[in-house]
Amino acid sequence: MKLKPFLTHEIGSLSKPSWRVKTIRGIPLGDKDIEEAINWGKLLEIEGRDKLLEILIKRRDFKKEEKEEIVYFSSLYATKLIEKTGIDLVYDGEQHRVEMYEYPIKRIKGFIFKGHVRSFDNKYYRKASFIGKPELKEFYHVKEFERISSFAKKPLKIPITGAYTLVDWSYNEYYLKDISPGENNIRKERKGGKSQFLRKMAREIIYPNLQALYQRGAKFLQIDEPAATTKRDEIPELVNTFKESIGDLKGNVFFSTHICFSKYSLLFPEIERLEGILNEVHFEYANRDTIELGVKEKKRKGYKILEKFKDNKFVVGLGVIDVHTNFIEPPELVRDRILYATKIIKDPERIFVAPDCGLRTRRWEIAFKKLRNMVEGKIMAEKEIGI
Amino acid sequence: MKILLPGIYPRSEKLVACTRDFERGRITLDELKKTRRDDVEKFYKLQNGFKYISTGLFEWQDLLRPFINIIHNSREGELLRFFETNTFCRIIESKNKPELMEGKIEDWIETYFFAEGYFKNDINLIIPFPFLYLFQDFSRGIPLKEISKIFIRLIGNIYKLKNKALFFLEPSFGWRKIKDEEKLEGRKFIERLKEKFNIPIFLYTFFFSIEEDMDFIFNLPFDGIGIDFYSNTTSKIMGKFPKDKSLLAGVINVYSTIIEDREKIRKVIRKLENYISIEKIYLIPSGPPEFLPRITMDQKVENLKGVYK
Repeated sequence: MKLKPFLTHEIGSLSKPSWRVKTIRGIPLGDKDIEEAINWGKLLEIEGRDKLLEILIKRRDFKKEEKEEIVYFSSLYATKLIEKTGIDLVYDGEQHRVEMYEYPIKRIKGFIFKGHVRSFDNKYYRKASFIGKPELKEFYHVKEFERISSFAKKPLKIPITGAYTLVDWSYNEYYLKDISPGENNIRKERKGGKSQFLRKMAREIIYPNLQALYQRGAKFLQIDEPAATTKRDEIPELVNTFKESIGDLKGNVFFSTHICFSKYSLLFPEIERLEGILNEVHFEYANRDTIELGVKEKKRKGYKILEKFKDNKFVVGLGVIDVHTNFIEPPELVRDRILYATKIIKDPERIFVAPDCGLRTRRWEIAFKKLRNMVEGKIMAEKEIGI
Repeated sequence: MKILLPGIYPRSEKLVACTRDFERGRITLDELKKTRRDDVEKFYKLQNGFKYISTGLFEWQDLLRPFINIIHNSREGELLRFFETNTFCRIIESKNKPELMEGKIEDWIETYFFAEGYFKNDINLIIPFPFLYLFQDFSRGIPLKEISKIFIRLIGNIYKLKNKALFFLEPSFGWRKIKDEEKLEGRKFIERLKEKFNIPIFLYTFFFSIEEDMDFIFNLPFDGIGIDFYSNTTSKIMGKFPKDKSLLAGVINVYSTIIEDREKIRKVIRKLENYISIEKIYLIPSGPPEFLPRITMDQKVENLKGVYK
């Protein structure tokens, strides 16, 4: 698949509009929520938005089908927001999903939620135990893909949480039922149990989902693996998991992976075994960078790991927008980050431009401005290089 | 009952939700504190009969964060993965020479080590501290010697309160190579503490195999050492374990919600008795209890009490 240089895409999540969150949680809507739907509807020129407003005006006690309609509109709004920024590959910012772990786990037999554990600060996630053979209840991203395809005017990229992350974020209690403390080879046994779990999840959960999306026409699929570097000595396992998840779909779909807030150096050289299978490797960089302009190494200290991509064939997914701050990166800063990457990688066709991660922690106003400047910065970089 | 529960204990589902509600402005600080107090109270009851009581550390966001509120010029930095887990911890940054906020020490101790005043001074309490290497790996601009000085000063204040046991939490053994100069500093630190304060001091290792540092660890003047028996093999560790120290056996599996088989735990204890007298064996979680949801951890503790029946 021949793609244009500096192709732009988002990474996954966007925040959910208050009128969507409150409706699903059963909280009555206020004037502000309705105004938000009106204002964004006008700005994004949403067709049929009157229908949404007719539903929202009830403010409370929404029926099941009305809630479904509201989710439909939040998907439509978010997709149009992304399109309006000028980004090349679009998505709806996970408007159909709770979040990247709980949503898939609920749709796989063999898991049971146990309770909340801390992720960081006072943020917790609902952690599940794996207690039976994993079995898909349904292809869990197909409906979302078909729906967004029906109104997206640009190519669509669907993110899917990878097997390694789903396994690493769960308690493994099916393959590790009978261990005794202090027994011989206890670490080896724990690792063995995890390998079995990983293979099963890759082959029987992720691959069928990817295949179902491919069969329905998906051309761009992103495998999210935020847990990728959690355990130093499991990188070979991670790589095998990618191989098994993608299987014979390689070459038929453009596969990318998104990994963030990790020690990336641990992935090399092992990840290079995925050349020809995985097309793009996207990391978060802007979070580690300075916000000063310039293309010298000192100014672009967040992009050191790019050196590792010099001698392989991966497309570099370049995070140029920090998702954890409301600072709106000026287009000139985006331009310099791209130009610096071009200096290292040499080939603009091997660089795709994106935010560091999903923008779900930012308000839509902020996310919109950040993404619009990202596109503008890309255009400036193109001019500078003369492409 | 010879069970101890050092480390951050999991918050109840209610406290998790209330903390989120407080941060989003839906409830007041007093309402949050009331729920936190309920958590402390239930946890206290769970530990009825234990030699040392843990306060639960329900105010702590991670093992390092309280220290930002007692070290001048320090601030929260970026999130860093907590070893090989999916929990992240914030770096402590200090640009100038770190100094303690002297006037605040007593309040700080009351907040973080006495559950906002719930526990009184005379009670037998576990006082947890990150050990030097853990603190160093999650801080910037605070050299090992300075950390050591800060800790000694703080522990001086805690020591006055009597009936306390110090627990140093340290997963860095087995995670990275501890340099010789770091080992020297670690040894000096513990020796100084033992000289100055007559207080039981324990080292709590977890997550990794300690085999490579075993000789160093076992020769430090701790009163007891905690070992994660889901990351270490009994036969490889216990042959060298010093007979004069207590063993804190990490047998509550924090990597799984399956409730331990009591008969298996009894067997493990019998095996450990081949190396050390039963009086010196305490049962603890294999790592930080907060890696399990509250309801599960409570069930595991209740179940473990049955081992002694």
